[in-house]
Amino acid sequence: MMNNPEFKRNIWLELSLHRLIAAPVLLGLIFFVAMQNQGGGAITHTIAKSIFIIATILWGSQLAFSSVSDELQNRTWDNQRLSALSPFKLAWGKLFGATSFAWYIGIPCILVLLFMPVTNLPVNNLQTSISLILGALLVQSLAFVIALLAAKSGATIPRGLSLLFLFVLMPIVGRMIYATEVPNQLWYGIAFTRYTFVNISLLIFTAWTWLASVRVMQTALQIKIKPWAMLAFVLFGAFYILGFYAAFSVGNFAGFVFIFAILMTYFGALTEKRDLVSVRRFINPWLAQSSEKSPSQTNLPEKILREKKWLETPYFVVMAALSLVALLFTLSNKPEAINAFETSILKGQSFAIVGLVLVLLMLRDIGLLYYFSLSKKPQRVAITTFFYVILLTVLLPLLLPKWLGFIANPLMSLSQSSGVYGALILALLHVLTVAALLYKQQIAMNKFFANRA
Amino acid sequence: MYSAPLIQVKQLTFEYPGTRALDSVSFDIVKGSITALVGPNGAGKSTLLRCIAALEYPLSGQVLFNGVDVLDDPRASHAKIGYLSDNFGLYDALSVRQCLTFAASSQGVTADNITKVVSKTAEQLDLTNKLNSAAGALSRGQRQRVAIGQAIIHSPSLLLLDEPASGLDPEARHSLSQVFISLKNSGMTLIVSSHILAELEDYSTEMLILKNGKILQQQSVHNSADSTAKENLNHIEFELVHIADAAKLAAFIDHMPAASGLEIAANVANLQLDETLMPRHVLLNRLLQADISINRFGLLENNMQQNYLKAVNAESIAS
Repeated sequence: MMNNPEFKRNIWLELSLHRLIAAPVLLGLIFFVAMQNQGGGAITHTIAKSIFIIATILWGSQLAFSSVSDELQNRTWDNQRLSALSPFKLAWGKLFGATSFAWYIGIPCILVLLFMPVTNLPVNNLQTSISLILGALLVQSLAFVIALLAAKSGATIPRGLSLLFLFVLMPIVGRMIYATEVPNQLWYGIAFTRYTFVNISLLIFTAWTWLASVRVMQTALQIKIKPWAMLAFVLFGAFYILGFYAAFSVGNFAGFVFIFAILMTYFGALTEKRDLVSVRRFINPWLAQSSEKSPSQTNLPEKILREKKWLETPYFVVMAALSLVALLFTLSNKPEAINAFETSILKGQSFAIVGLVLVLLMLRDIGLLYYFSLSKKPQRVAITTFFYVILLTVLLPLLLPKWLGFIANPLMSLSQSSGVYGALILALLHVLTVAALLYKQQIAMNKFFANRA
Repeated sequence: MYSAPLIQVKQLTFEYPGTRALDSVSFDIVKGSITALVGPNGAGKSTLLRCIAALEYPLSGQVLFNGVDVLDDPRASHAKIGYLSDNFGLYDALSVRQCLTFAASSQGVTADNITKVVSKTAEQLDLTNKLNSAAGALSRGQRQRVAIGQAIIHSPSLLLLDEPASGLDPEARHSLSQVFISLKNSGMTLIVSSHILAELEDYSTEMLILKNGKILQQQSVHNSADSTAKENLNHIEFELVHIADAAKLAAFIDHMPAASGLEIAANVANLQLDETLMPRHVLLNRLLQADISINRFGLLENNMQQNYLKAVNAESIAS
């Protein structure tokens, strides 16, 4: 491990002699005092779990986040990007090096859990310990990926905000750690013990976040990658979530791929660098292709993939559209395959129409996001876009008369049995309006540069 | 004098929101040169250096390093490039030795060589007695040298320096100039961006003038860094009273081994004089004896600054 310079540097910074001595002394004192009480074993276990969670999950995620954000803040990130270290070495050197002191505190706590005998525990100590370790690894890795995505997109994320996602994860982790009942978990009809299921899930999702951290690190180092990993994650996510709700069928799977692809499109659009350079680099080859008639021209999608003149978001849109087509195909051949999905999830609405409306509204939202991102002085783009989406989706329908509310939020028309096609037309109008805004903005931008030249 | 270009920049265009930082920039950098990248604030100097270092994706155009597009294989380019940002940072809690050791190992220097390379770099940058000091406790000039040490520790073939002397006192600037000259003499190619021309004059061999994202001029600079043979050459400028004397002057200088590179624009003449062969007062005397009337005669100082101002003013008038 010490062959990794990034890991070694972090060890120099994190594990000073003072810390190496003080931490075990302090932990020893805490556990010693706890043991003096009546029922000391159980109290010591609770304290060990609590210290582990504070050190590795709360503080550890902060350290993982800071391992990237501090480089940006201290202006050492460019040096890291110029180093000869591979993305893999750099990623794990940072992730495990920056959190080394948190683990230095956490590991003795796990040893206490494993080797201190306590009676009447609802689950065995080994399973609890595995859950704790995997939970900490997952949360730290997520924080690390978020910091890398922020660095990649050029966004500045306040360090405190990195804790926000913990509010989503903490109930899950807390439930997992402090569970007193251990019911079985059904997944695709198979019964798993809860802890086994949680631990396997944690392991798989931790592996995904590690893969994500290496992939995002690759892009930060200007290495060209193809978006297969994100697309594979959409397929996996759809397969994983579907297991909780219904039996596997092509229709159900395509339905969940569609939902997951929509979510990942929003995620991709929000985390992607949305500057003019990225957009024009994506658009320019298409424009060049339309003006070049040479038959020997390289196949364009392959050319774009090879030259990194692409954005990830459009691929999720394509995936959402393809899953929708797959669903429609399934619907035409095996209507029963989709009935379950339409009945259970969409409450009787036609998936084809709902899907198209959702895709169109997603395009509108991303169009708005890009409209604000490409303005001359982009500021708080995500929040501004969010405000307009909420205005259209929630506020205007509440404030305006019903028919105007339908115009603002085409989804409302879906509740009318005769309004499904109206919803489709209205959603299309939304997209066309945003497209017109973007077109007008780009014409103005081109004029600006033409005048300047 | 120099071999094939190490860097070829072709039609490079870069945009920030609402700003075209580089506009179809093209130029070559030859091996073993020190190029001064000059221009007013906001000219696009830092963006250009970051594009050459493959730290930024341009909108269009190419940067070829030894004939290979840096964006085709940025990691391969990074291994051969040293880069010092204008607002560089150091790991303040680490000692200078740890900073240099980390830089060496992360740049792929083998474990056997790290101690040797760290000592050599520290010696080169006069940091030997600071190796055990924390980087955060150093002065601005010493920090600058540590950062340069990190950038050169893997002996890159190209070193990019963005405003390396900003905030340094005159003594530290002079010491830095000597470091750059020694790096050049060891075979390294340097591109140094600055808007302080006096410091660049000491060591640059080429000057690249950038304004509003466009190259105004690329020209060679003759100075003491050029070669040891030119150490005694001085630039002399004088003004002829009669333009008609220009032909007589050219014929006169042609037979004078100490003088070379005569350029006459209107009634102003420039030449290089080897003062070990002929001190400048002797030249003036000979010119007068040859019946060439002189209005003004003197050593041309701040050649670079004058050329820069000439180019920038010409561009302003043209636009």
